[in-house]
Amino acid sequence: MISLVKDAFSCEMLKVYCQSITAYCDGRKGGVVLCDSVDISAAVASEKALMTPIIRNADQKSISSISAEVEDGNDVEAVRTSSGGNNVVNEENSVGPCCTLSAAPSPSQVDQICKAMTLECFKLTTELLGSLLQTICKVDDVDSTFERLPDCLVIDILSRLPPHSFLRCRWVCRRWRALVSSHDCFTTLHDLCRASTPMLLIRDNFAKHRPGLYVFGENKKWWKKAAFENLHLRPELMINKHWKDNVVNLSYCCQGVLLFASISWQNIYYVVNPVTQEEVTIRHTLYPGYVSALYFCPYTRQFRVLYTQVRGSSCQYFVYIFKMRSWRKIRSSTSFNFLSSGGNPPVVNGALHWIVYHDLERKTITPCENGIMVFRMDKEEFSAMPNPGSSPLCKSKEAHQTMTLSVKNDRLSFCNLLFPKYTVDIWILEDYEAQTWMKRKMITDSQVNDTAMTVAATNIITMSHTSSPQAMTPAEKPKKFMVLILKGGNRRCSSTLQLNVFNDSHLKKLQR
Amino acid sequence: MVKLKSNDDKEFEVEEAAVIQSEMIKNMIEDGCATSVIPLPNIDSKTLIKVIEYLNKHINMGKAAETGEEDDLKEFDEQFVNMGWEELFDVIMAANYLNIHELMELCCQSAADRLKNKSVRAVREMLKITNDLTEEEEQEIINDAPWAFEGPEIDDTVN
Repeated sequence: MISLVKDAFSCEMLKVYCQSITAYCDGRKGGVVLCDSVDISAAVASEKALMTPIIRNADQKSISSISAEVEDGNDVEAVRTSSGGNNVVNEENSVGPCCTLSAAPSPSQVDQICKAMTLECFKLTTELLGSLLQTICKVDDVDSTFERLPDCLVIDILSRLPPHSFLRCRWVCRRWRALVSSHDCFTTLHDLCRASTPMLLIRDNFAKHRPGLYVFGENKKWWKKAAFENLHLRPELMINKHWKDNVVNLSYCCQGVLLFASISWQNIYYVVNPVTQEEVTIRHTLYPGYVSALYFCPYTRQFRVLYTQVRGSSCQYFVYIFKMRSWRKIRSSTSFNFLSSGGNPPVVNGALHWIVYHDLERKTITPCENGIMVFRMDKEEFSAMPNPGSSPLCKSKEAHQTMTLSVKNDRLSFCNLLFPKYTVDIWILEDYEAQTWMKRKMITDSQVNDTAMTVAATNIITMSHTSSPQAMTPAEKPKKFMVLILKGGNRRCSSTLQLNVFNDSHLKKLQR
Repeated sequence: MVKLKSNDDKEFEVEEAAVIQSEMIKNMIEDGCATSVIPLPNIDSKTLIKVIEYLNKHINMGKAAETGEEDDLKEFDEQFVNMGWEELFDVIMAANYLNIHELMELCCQSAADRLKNKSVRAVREMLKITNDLTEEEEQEIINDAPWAFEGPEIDDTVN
């Protein structure tokens, strides 16, 4: 017994069992009947006697007190006195302690009996509960509709709610508050959204009053109309004040987190999460320069801002760490002098990619051999690689302005709009290490022709899949290849704005 | 044909083309583990019937778009999710277990649509959740984002 009690785990087990053994199945009443108290009984056979002592209210006693009670000499005395004689079962008090003894045991025998008894006791309870617990659990489940769902499924459902409803979920109960508040949940939440329905954030520069941000939800069920909703930002946020004065620009977005640049003050950036309505104001003294990327580092599971500081003919790069609220200089072994394109850099193979516009050192030469700039997130290193089909296509620096990079099926894809024919070349990087590009498509669509086309222009900022940072762990990626084309901007205001989704080879106009 | 067995020991025969929409069973078939009956200890027969109904209807999902049956499918989906919360969660758990992506999407979206714009009180009542937050905690949450708790779009009805 002593050794048993010393074993904390079995002790706890027995305690739990004792506490939960407060119910039994009653076939006639058709369910589980709760008991007020639990008595444990054990039958112990010794050479001369069969003892069946009962420990009353075992559910309220600790294992040590049960142990003590069993081992207690007084209790054993009581058991002994109640026996009355040889082979007599105490019938007067059938629920009380009863004991059948052929002869009064000696003290050493009592000790032995006690040891055997507690072991029996443990075994008995365990077996009894195995069958009982099942029934009890089943009955408990009935009235907790939502609680049966595992956390991941609850998040899956809640993540589909609009921001207002989503935030209100925190008020429902503690479990939901924990789910909705945790930052990890929010990241996974957006991963989920990405896999199912791409969510686009659209800036409408042609609105009559002031540029607005709209959330565009292309419904999974494509037969439903696409819907636009105004992006809600809490009035208290700093960004809102500047937004009204039209002095901020939406520059980057990553997993639903947006980075705004202030037009009036070059050293201020606002990073906003529209779902949690959190805001961080970033200041720096690193200008002249510009933010090159807002990215989510999968290794540290943190958001980062990459800043390029231009110093004459060379660049210095800095990373902003939100946790520390500070900038850190990147010590890249190779120095880079390229100015990259704007827009969210696509993430493939754990690295960010940009099209290079200018070579700061050799300003007259087109940067074809180093057409694509690469930033590895794990080592924080820069490198470069040539863009596909470079030599015949690229005759001027301007040609690079029509090039864009995106992600298709976890591979880097390169898209080039060729003037004056308005054809679009699409290349896919088949082998990342060997840098082998495959030309996939050339699109000459008359519909493309008459649109004032800006492929992946800054007007359209995908909140979701094209800037997926989870390249190292290939998650489910959209199978469609989407090129968004905005047209009608030069006609009237936002009401004529048309959205075309380019889906492999069919140009589909989205209903509004 | 593939035989599935629910946790109350009822067997169902399903066409392989239908059942491979479940990633889990598809993998089992590919690995050659589905020669006899596949036991599904987490799914009762009532839910399994529902899931099979869905699988059979969506057997030719890809072709539907070409043959103009999409309206038919849409109608079926709308009818399909027209069920009680209990049943819906059973189907969600089954779809999650069997890894049927489309069904998960349909049901989770339906659940979200029902909760959309509902007041906190309505959500609690619909899902039978007991409020275990203290008053101070509640106030803290409301103070955090007051705009989320007011507005004309909040729907207090339970249905």
